[in-house]
Amino acid sequence: MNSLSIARILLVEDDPAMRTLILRVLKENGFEAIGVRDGREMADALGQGSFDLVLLDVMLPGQSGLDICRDLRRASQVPIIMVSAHGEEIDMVLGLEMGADDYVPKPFRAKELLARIRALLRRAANNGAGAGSIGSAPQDVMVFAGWRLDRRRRELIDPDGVAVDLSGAEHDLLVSFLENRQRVIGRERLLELSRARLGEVNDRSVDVLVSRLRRKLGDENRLIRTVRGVGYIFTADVATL
Amino acid sequence: MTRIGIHRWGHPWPRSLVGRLGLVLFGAVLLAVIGNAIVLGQAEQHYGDETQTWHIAEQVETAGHVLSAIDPARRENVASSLSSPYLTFTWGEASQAREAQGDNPASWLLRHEMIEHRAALAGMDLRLRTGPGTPVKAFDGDVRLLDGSTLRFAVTDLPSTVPVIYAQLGSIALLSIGVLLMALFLVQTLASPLKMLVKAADAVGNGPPVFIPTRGPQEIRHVAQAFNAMQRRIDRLITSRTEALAAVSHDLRTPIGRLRLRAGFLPNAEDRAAFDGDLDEMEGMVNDLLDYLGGEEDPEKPRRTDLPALLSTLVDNATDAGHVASYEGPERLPLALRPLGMRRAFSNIINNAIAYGGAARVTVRDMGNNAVITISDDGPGIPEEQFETVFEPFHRLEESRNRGTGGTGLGLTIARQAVTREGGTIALRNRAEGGLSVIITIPKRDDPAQKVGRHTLS
Repeated sequence: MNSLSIARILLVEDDPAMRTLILRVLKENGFEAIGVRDGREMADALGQGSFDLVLLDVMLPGQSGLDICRDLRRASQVPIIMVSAHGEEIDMVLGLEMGADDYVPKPFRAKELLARIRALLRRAANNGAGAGSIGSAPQDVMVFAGWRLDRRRRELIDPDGVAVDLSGAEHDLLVSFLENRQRVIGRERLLELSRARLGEVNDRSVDVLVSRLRRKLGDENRLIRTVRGVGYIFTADVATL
Repeated sequence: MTRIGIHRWGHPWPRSLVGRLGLVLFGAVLLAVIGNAIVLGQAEQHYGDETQTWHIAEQVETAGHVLSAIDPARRENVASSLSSPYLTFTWGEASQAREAQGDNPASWLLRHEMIEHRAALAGMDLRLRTGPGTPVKAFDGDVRLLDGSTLRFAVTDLPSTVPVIYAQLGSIALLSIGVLLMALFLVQTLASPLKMLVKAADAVGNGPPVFIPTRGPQEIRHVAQAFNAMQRRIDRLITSRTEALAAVSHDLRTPIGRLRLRAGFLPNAEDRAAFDGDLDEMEGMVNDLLDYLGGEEDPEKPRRTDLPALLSTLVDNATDAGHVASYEGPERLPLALRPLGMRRAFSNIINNAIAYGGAARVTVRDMGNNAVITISDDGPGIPEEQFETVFEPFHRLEESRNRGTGGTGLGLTIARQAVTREGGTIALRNRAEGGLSVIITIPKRDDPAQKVGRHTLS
């Protein structure tokens, strides 16, 4: 994939009305999109052309979305977003464990879906064409200064084993810090990295977000340091399990 | 008592209520009959005492006739030989003066009794003297013989005659009370299965079905069986309705999802916002219903969770959405709880505070054994008499209905379900400064199982 503008997306969705609507949303927002009904049709479509992203519904007739996801991941590095029917955490966890890169709970707004798609395409592009960690369920568990972040479960555990709740934006911000540890990250870059989760982002909201994250990390050991006039730096070592 | 008797006779305890009541009545009657026999036996004994008086009268009359007929010189000896241990006769010359008749009711009553039996004693001018008190235990008297001499007699150890009736009354009363208590006890044992039924009937609707054991007499056993069958039917009915409601709620998400996307295609931004608002409301209702219907068998397990982080996320979300919300309390407070359930509970209460009270101020205090979370608003509060009913499913305050603030009236019900699952309590209080406070107390259980997963890499 070279540019965001003409990314090809394959949609697997059994509900015809829903399929039409999502295709329309995607096309109106500059994507090339093809819709299929189930796993078999998906295999046919993948055989005929290449795609930059697969949008996969969990509830499908015949082979379930989770099984399709697992099989697809074995064969391909293509970025996958699962669409969960229930909005239940269990689907999300399972989907991510089956190798999906992200999930969108139903019902969702067009804006939210587009933001997730763009963010994932950007991540895939940043990680180098196809070869990067994207698609291979990257760095599932990250450990820093006794803390532990499980990205599949979106779960942060403190050094005493206590779960610390994070908002979606805080989670994404923390991931951005962990992936760019011991490097100064500008506000602009953080904005871009976190855009998927924040509605209307600006400089101030990044600062607010960082201060909230610091408070949750109990940041007396100064894990996140401010670099005056530039941005922030995450100071600790990060190990990936 | 009756039971022992029945066992001795080898009769089984009858199965039917009628049989048991019949047996109880039979026992009561039997007791009454036996008791009566005993009482009457005692009465006969007292009756015997009366005839003893008559017997004395006869002896006195006979002695009088005998002494009158024999030679005066022998009279003294004969008199003493006629004496018995309780009745002593002595003879006196005609020249000796006689004592007067005793002037108390007992003396007159006794004289009347004796004369009534042996009329001849009246002709012999019977004079009796008893002691002043009752009952009469002893008395003495004399009669005049034909030649003017006197026959004196003295009676000792005479059983009382007057209080016999009272004694009988006492026995009958005691017996009656005894029979009554016995009957009450037996009827009580019959009634206890009925009480169980009443308790079970009271519990219906407040949780899972309460099946009662089919024990006791046949009729009550039938009632218990019918009651249990009724509960099974009700339970099936509720379950099928609940499943239908859950299925519909679940399926509603599909059209809501489509509408969300369709709304995005509306050319007018105002229309889009209005559609989104309505869809938010519908989605909220559907989610509330699913939470409520699925809340009782939530598979979530408790785990050590940082309470301030959980609450901060909710408060931050509210301020991001432009509402007034704040958090005050410790930076860290680990508690063993179900994070998803409790997030739902706190979120419902914070949303209520914002919707009805214009603000949500969250404070947390660590009380040692408990964590106390208070969520206060600036609204009008709610009348105290509604403090309980607001927790009932589908209950909404009147003004909220008029204001069209939406919601299913399940928010607080879901919150209480979640808090109760953590072993905590939820209470309401109208603050003196105005506004409502929701006070949640959660026990600090230290779950050692959670510490095993502890991670320290440094």
